[in-house]
Order: sequence, then C-alpha cells, then structure tokens
Amino acid sequence: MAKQNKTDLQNVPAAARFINRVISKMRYRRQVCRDVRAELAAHFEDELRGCKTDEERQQKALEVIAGFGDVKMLAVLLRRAKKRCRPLWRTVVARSLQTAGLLILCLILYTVWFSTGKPTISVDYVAMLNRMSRPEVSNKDNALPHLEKAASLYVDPNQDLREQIPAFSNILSPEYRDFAGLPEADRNAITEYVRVNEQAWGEFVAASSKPCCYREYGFDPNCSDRDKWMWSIIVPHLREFKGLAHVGVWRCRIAIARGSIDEALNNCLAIARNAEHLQRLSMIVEQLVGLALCSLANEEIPGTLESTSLTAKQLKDLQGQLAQVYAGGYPVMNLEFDKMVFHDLVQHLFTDGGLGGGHLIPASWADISDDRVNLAGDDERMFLMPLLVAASMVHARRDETLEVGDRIYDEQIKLAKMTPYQQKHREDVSSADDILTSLSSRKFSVLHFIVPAFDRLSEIEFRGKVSHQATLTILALARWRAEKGEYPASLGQLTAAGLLKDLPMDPFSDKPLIYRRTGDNFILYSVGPNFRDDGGEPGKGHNGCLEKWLDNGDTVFWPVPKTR
Amino acid sequence: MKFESQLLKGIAPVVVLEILSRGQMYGYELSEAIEERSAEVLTLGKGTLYPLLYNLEAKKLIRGRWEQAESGRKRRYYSITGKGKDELARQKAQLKELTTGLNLIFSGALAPA
Repeated sequence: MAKQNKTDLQNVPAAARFINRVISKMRYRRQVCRDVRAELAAHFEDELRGCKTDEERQQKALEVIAGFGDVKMLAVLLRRAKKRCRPLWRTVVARSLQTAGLLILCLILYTVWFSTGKPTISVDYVAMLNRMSRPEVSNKDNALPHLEKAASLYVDPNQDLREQIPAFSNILSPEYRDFAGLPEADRNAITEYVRVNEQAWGEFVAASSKPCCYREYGFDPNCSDRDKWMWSIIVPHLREFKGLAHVGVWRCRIAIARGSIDEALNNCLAIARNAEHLQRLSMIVEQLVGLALCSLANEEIPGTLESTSLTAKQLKDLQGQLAQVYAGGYPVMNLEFDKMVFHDLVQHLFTDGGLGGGHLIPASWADISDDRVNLAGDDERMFLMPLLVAASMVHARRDETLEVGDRIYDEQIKLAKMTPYQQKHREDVSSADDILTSLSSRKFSVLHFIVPAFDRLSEIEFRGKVSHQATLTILALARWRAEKGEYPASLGQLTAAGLLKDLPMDPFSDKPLIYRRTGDNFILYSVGPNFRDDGGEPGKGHNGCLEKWLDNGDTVFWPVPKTR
Repeated sequence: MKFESQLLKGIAPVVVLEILSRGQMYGYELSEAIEERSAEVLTLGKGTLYPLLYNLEAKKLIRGRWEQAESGRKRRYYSITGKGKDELARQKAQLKELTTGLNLIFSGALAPA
C-alpha cells in the first residue's frame, strides 16, 4: 500500500518529503508506520486529484502540508494514538520487556558500581600491633635478634640423612633417648649435626637468657604497597626454631652420655625459656611453635631424670629454674592479633559506607583467594570474576560480617581461658566452630575462609600448662624422695612442705593430677581428653604405641613411657 | 466563520461519530464531509483528523479497515461500531441539554433561525 502511494506522489516531492519526516519522527513499529504512511499518501492523492498541472499540484501540496501543522507534533500525536490502539497483550509484552530491560540496565550499572568498589584504609593495624606487642624494655633485652640469628645459622639435616637416621624424625621416641645405645653411624651423624649447629646453638642459648621477646612485624621487602596488609605479614624461621630445639635435645642426650648432667639440664632449660619467649609473641603460629618447644622440654626433663640420678640440690635448682620460666604465669593463647588480622582484612575486602556499612569487593576477594587457592593466570581470573561478583553480592555486608566475626573471636578468647573440662560443661559459650558451622557458607564465605581452626586450640595450650606443672611436680617428688627416702603419700604433702607452690591441676577434670605410690615408684597422670580416669592406663595410638593426649586412655607423665 | 480550535476539539469526536453513523468513509472523505455538511462552519485540521481517528479506534468507537475504492485505490475506511453508536447517543443527549441550557441563558437567541 505504501509503495503504491509513494509512486503516485513521485511528482510531488514536498508531499513525499513531508510524509517521510512524519514517519521518521513517529519512531514506532514498522507495520504501523507503513499503514500511517499509506493513509497519509492516500490523503495527499485525494487532495491533489483535481490539480491539472505539476505547478498546481506543488502549490496544493504545500497548502495541505500547512494544514497538517507542525511535523513533530503530528508525529507525536499519531504515535500516541497508535499506541492506544495496540492490543492489551502487546502492551503487556512491551511493558514487560521494557521493565526487564530497565532491570537489566540497572543490574549492569549496579554490577559495574559493585565491581569497581574500593576499600578505605583508615587504620594501620600493623603499626598498632607493633605498638601493642612491644614491652617497655630496651632492645638489648629482646631475645628475638638472637633467635633470628640462630635460625639463620641453623643447618637442617638433609632429607637423605633423615631417611638414613630415623632418630632425626622421631626424636621423642624412647628408643632414641639413650644416645650411648644408638648405632655408631647414628651417633656420628647426630654428633656432626650438633657440631655444625654449634654457633646457632650459642645464639639460641643467648636468646634464652634474655628477659623478654618481641617482634617488629613487617612485610617482605619486595611486597608492593597494595599487598601491605596484615594478611601478608611474614613470620620467618619458625621451622628453624623447632630444629634448634632438636639440637638442644640431642645436646642434652649427648651430655648425659658423657655424664655432664648439669650441661644436659641447661640445654633443656634453654629450650623451655625460648618456648616461653615464643609463647609470648602475637601470632597463633608463633605461640604454637612455642608450645611445641615447651612440650619438648617437658618430655626431655623427666626422661633425663629417669636415666640419671640427681642430687637434692640439683633437683631443687632445676625445679627453681624451671618454675622461674613461667614466673609471670603460664601464657593464655593470645587471639587478639588474629582478631586484628580479621579487622584489617575487612577494611581491605569491603568498601566503607553505604548500605550495611559497605560491600565485599570482588577484586580484593580474588586477591586473597589467590593467596590460598592459587587462581593462576589472568584468564582464569577473568573467567571466575562473574562468579566472584555474584558471590560478593550475596555475601553479608561489612557491618554484619564484622559483628559475626567479632562474636566468633570474643567467644574464642573467652574459651581460651577455660579448661577443656570447663568447656565440656559450658552452657553459655559457643565455640568458634559452633558459630561458623551455623553460618551460611555463601553469606559468610569470608569468615569460613579466614577464621582459623580454633578447634582444640585452647586444649593444646592447657596441655602445655599441665605438662609444665607435671614436670615441676615430678621434680618435687624426686626431691622429697632424695630427702626422705620414699615418695610422699599425697601431693598435698609436697605443698605443705613447700616443695611445690601449687597442686598441679588437671585441665581435663579440674582436679589435681592423679598421684599414687606404686611400690618403690609412683604414677602421675591426667585423665586426658576422654575426661575419664582409666586407672593410669596410657592411651594407645593406631599402631599400638603409647601416646599422650589420646582419648582411649590416660596421659601418664610418670613413669616415662618406655615405648611409644 | 471558523470555530476556535479548542472549541472544535471538544465536539470533534461527536461530529466524526455522527458523520460515520451515516456510512463508512476514509480520512479525506470524512474531512470533506464535515466541511460540506456544516456549510464550512466546521473544519477539522488535517493534523487533528488522523490522531482523532486513531484515538476513536483505540476506544473501539470506530473500526478501520483497508478496502479497495471504486477508483481502484486502497483506502482505509472507518465505520462506527455498536459501542460508538451508544457513545454518540449519549453525547447527543448531552449536547441537546447543553443547547437547551444555553438557549435559556441567551433567551432563545441561540435557537436556529
């Protein structure tokens, strides 16, 4: 229809132009525009029908155009009227598509805004940590420089040597306690190991003589400004510290083999003192290494007692020096640092302000995930970015994440002060693991990702504490026997006589450790993680070896187990 | 005398419905018919005519369809619907009342000579 009329108006360009302008300004569906064009063309033809000449037709066309009025206004009126003509279903579809389009546009804009969020770094938590962790002492009283020097000098037995000499990897096994009884090749290798670490051990001992230990936390010198947050703090040499403690243990055993008991005990004391230094540091991983050293010292001292005969004076000195290691009280696991790490992470991972206090930033979330799961190349990251954006959108906002995270840490700080027995019978405290388990892994993926496994953390701490107390008690019992010729009937006699300051408390029963005389000997044990007195029967591991802190028996401190 | 456009706009739909109630017409024919039957007193501007037709069609008062004219050309013919007839009757009744009222005010001066 439109084509037919278009052809008829070919000689009247003004009319054709006018119709084209109206249609182009109508900006409506093609079919409707075609109908309107045909109808307007037909109108012009009818108007021009009576004109004889081209000139007359042109003149008349201009008059008709003038009669139609403003092109833009006409187009608007036509479009409006035609829109009203469309059927309801078409209107519904059009409105739905418009709404969907609008929503998609809003979503795109929101996604762009969301993805380009930037964190606001308002608190320098690293500086705050360094301020908080530094005691008011001069630098020369700090053990850490000596420990670090010792670690840098330390030489680890290589893998071949470890495979050839199992004593290196199973240092606590009773069969390796008697150095003189080891095969010659083992003795030579161990002696060489001790020799090459002579200088490192000297620094380790120097560290043990210092009254305190603190660390200036910082970053890898090659770390970019973007990566300077607590998550990236480096804590070097922890493995070497454990290696140095092993050097001390071997030195102790070699000294016993030579008959140098005082030297042997001094080596154990050096380990115990440095254990305490590390336990006072801020990071959980440092404290755990400290606890491992503490455990090593408290295994080795009773072992030494069993294999040698000490005088009452030696026992008294050793007990006094060992008690002095924790004169300020046995340290409670310090989780404040980890709480600060969490706060620092939040300020790097979330925007600051707006709905819910800010939202998770996908790019930062990718950075931190990269540290743990290694997202590899940029391509892979680009591929995962939409998923990260979606995950960030469903994640809890900043305020809620902070609130729940703080609750987890606060509850855990409370728990760290409770013995395992108190924790078992608690009513009003939930563990971090309980809270985490109850949280949606999508909404709180950050917390699931970064909160450390607190499970049994405080139990490890209390194990260290009771091991230390048990060693002091064993020394007191040995003193009593050295003075009176037999062991006391009860531990209470030790405290009454001033040989022991306090009764050793079992954290798994909240009662004193169980002590019984057994003929010419005695037994001292904790009921252990099963909270049940198994009559002093030690727990056994999968291979039948006797082990401490198993839930199928008691943890026996004395007599020292002969097999593991 | 030509009517003021605003005044005409108010009664244009009734006029179109009245003309179409006498038979189907296409746009140009309709505009000619209005002028002719009102002795050129009423003139519907071309810019008003087609939007008005489409609006009446949207309200389902008239129906438009393409037909072949006697001359062989295709034209869009408009005819009044049942709903349009009802609306026309209602509007005419209102106009009658309006005229009566105006006559009373103007003491019969508005009555046709």
